[in-house]
Amino acid sequence: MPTSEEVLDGLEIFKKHVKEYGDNFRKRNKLPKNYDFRPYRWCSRDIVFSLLVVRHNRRGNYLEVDVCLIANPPQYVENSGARVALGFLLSEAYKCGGTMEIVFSKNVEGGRVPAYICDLAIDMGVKLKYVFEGHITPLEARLLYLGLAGFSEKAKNKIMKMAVDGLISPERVCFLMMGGVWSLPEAESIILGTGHPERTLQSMSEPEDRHLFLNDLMVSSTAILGGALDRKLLRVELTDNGKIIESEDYESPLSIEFDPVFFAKIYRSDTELIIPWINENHLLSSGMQMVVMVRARSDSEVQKYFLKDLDGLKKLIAKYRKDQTTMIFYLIPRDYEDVPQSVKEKIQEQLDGEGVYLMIAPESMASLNKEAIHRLETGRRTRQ
Amino acid sequence: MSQCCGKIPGEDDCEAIKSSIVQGNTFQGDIGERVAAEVATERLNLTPEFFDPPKNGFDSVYRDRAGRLVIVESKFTEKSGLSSLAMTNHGRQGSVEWVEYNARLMCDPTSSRYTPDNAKIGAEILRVGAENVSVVLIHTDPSTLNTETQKIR
Repeated sequence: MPTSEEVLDGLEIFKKHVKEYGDNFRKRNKLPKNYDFRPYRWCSRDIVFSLLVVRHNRRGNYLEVDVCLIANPPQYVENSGARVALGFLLSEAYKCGGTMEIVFSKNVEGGRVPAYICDLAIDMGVKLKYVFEGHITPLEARLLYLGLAGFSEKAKNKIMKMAVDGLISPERVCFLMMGGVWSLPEAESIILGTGHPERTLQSMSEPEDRHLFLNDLMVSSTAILGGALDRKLLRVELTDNGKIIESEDYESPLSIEFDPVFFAKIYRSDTELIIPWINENHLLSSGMQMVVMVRARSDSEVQKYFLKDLDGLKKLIAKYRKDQTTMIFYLIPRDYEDVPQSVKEKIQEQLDGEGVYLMIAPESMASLNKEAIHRLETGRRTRQ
Repeated sequence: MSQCCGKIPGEDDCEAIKSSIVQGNTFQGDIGERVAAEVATERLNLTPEFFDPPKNGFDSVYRDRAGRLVIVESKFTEKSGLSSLAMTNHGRQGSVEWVEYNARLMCDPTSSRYTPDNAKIGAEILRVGAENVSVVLIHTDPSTLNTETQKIR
């Protein structure tokens, strides 16, 4: 653990870097290069998690860290400061184009890997070899990045298989997730639910490659539709004097799994949650699970593919509904409203017959596709 | 912590952070730990052990009259008794799993919980078995300053 003197010394060096940054870049209205020292502070509301100063060392092709001060506020999860700091350092190391090696200068706890980062590495089962030399090797960085991203074992195995096959690097997958292009459940849907996830994750298809591009678009839209339901369920609305306020720090305790065979999401919760976007009032209680088959379909596609989807739903029911604790849902965008009334009645009747709830998301196919194109474009701009 | 955000700070930010570090040394937890130290030595007749309390982990370590290790968790909160013990990634505070995990970290020279004194205690816990180490909760209510002692294991 850093001593008080080390913390105060680190803060002085941080101040020096902030001043230099102000003089060299802010006042001159210039942007720094990757190889210039850049100070960052990481906060949630008024709580500081981490203060960092980094630059890409061109000579050694690694990320150099000159200040790394970490706090672990007791009101947050264990090692939260180290998670924030390490997540940033790994993402920055990837973004800068180096080898992913991270080197801590003498100003960081005397030149060692910060103790809180070591705690986190121990927690994730990653053994750091050069702690007191202040080095995190590229292999250790890869393992830490995968651990931090939080992928399931199935997804991790597929990512590693793709890496061995030379299709995509694990760091890129983690970077897309940590950089906010895809959320963790969305990325898992793409990785596990499609035959060639590397195409979507690397945004390899140009619009000119019509069929491939449309396939990537469909995969992305479906993942985003599933992600929209995740966010709706995870969001906690707190009330203050009768007004609903959203809290950025609180999320429902929800577990989200993915079934790649049916492109379905499985939700379980420890508390009662209102199930959104259905006609009836239902709660997801503790001990229950909801299985949602996600299909991003336009009104014409719903009409064309419904029987195929119904067939899939029947198999899904056979797999999951052993008792009354499992509810099955069929999630589609609001384009469903444009389906002719007579067809809608037939669809509803068949779903009722199977005991499946129709879940209509407020998103339309147009908005899903627009978001998917935006994310594919963002992914294309990321380091390959 | 879904929205933790990074920003390049200005010099004002640095001053604010520094003043909060310098002024904010006395937290509720420190007050609770001082009260707990008094209770542990005077009421429970425990002898303090050389121990450097880390930010996370055990609050303090003592020995009873028979020379056995006793971990003291001090709480200064309105939550009562056992409910004040937090759930961690390695079990609830005071549980066998939690004691063993912390003892292992205390022996690992790379960890923030390691110091030579802590390593000796950690090694002893692992040697005798975490299930054989007593854990005592000393809870102080901040509004009434009433203190209650509860043996967890």
